Amino acid sequence: MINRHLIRAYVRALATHLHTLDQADADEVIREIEGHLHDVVDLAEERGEDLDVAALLEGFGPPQSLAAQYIAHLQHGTPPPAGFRVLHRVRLGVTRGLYYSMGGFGFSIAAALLWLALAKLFAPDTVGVWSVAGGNAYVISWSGSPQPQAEELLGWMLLPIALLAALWCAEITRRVLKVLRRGLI
Amino acid sequence: MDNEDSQDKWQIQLRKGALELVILAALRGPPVYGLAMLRHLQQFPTTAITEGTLYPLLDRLKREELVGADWIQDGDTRPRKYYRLTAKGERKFQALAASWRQSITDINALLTMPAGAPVDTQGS
Repeated sequence: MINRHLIRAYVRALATHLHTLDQADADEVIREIEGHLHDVVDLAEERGEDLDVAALLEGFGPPQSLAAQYIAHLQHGTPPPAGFRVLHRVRLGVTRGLYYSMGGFGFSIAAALLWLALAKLFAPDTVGVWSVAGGNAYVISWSGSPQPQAEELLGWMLLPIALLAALWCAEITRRVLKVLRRGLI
Repeated sequence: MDNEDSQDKWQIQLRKGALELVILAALRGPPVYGLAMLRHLQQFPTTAITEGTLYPLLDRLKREELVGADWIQDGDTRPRKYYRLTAKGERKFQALAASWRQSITDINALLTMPAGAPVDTQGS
């Protein structure tokens, strides 16, 4: 029985280095490489042959190098014209700034919504969305009704709505960050 | 030693230049999956490439729509990605093959004909 531990470790490392590809593309690359490796091992086992898995993996090269060949088109698809390195650095700086601020903003909103859902669970009477000023304004309050005439909206429905909004916000942020990450290469 | 190194580098460059043609040529028959193609190419000393060269190249050719690919499961075996030449790939193959043959003809002529001898430009 040939030990496939090295293959699993190699495929995991490859998946990590392919993170800049679209998920579907990365999955297809991994599926093909993994299938090839297991096919070779299966064949050796069927024939009762010994197989040097490390030597087999050498044929693919280090996971980082293999992944780099797959993502080369992303890195070199639109090279900046010669002499425009400053523009490239500026673009990289702007993208990096956008990446971190977008991440901070998006995940903060998601965390706040999650916190609102949990707060509603533990303090249902004081946490809620209130309609004030005769329905002309809405207030999220953590300490009960903001005005004597205020009317609470949503009630317990606030909990699932806030949870779903938190998940949606986190997912959108994750997707946007994935796109921005390509600009950081 | 330097001479051997330089010959190795020349071989690598030659192989690199011809690799796209080699892959397209190997795909002219029925669809074939990566491992089978690798074994096929490894039968010939000058086209014996590694897995790490073959798969990214196939991926590039697929993105350029020169080859197509489909996942096929044959019986109980693991699904495999079978590659085939597209119409665009066939045209590219014909162009590269013609260019390759022309180069062979020209270089063969140069090998037997030193500079200064009368030149027969029939093949070019």
